[in-house]
Amino acid sequence: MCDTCGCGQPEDAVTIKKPGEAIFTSENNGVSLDNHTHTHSHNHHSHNHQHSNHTHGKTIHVETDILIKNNLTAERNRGFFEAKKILALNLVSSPGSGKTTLLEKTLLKLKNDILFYVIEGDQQTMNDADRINKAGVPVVQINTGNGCHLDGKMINDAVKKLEPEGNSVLFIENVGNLVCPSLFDLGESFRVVIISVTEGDDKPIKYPTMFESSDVCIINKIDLLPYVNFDIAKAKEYATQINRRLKFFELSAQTGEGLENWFNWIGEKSSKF
Amino acid sequence: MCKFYTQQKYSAMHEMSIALSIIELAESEAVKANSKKIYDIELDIGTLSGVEIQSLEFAFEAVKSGTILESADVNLNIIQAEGLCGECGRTFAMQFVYDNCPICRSYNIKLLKGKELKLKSLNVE
Repeated sequence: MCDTCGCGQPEDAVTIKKPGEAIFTSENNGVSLDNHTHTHSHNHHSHNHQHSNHTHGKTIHVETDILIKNNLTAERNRGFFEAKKILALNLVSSPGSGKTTLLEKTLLKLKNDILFYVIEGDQQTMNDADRINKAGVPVVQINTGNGCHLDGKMINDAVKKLEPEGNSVLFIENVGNLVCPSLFDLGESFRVVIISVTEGDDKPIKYPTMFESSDVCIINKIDLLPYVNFDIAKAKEYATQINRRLKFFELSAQTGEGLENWFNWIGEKSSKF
Repeated sequence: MCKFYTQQKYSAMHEMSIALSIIELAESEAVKANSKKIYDIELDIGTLSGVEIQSLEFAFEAVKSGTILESADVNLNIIQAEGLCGECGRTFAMQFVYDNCPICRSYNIKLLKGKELKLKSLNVE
């Protein structure tokens, strides 16, 4: 399961590796491999031993994507958004990168010009929805309980509750997690990944799946650059290696530096819809 | 319908969600074929699919009891990721999604395979 949300892991899902070392699997804290009774490895599965023991059954060739249900629900959402001319932005990041602050600043600045709606995703609490509510924008909070990501069905249900009008912008603030949400299409128009300079500049290559599936990358908290060891050029280079389509914004939601470009982008995309 | 779906409205963890999706998809296919039991399930999982294989196996074992897949064997085909270089045209095995071409070092790479998350076939009663 996923490391980010701390749910239970099978014994050998964790790899412990020093720089330059070959990958091997072990239990947490580098406990000796001798203790392993779990014999699975990737190579174990590489041979195909289909149906050798069960000649009595009949074979159904399914050939279907496992995530078909979520993908179809997400496409329904996307169709609804397109028909209503709703620009849907899925904000994804680690916890604490400044998603909600960026959202607050964006709403306060643009809400007189653009009709906004917000769906908040967190494991627990109404805190974020309360913050958005104070900004005077309609909001629905999804609490996922133990869940580590939003999915198409949750958005479908939340949109029914939110009842957004057309010609608007819908922000979906995903659960703070750079791993799990990457696989789940919500029907968004654009996926926006946010990193902050208080994180490592190698974040893109540590969590490549999320950066690969995103359209926009925001580098937040640039007012803190003098105090941290974060190389923006390097971070962008890593992100571009993964995804050459990424559009970058460097800003500080706190001080307002660089926000104008982000506002302009939202204005441009929402007017084209 | 698998018991985890009836117990909770939404599925939780990401490999857990995948495992539940597999069960739901397999159940609906078995019902279409008028089968009450699945002997084998064959999955294609790409090495760059974003799914941790061991976690998926763990999740699948946890959720399959009480379902039509309770005694099913899982055959996993791990699909090694392969890229096609947009500059020199070579194909090569990829370990990471951000690998560049080992020959000409270009990052203009098209992923040919390795993203698979597919229910390939079922062997049913």
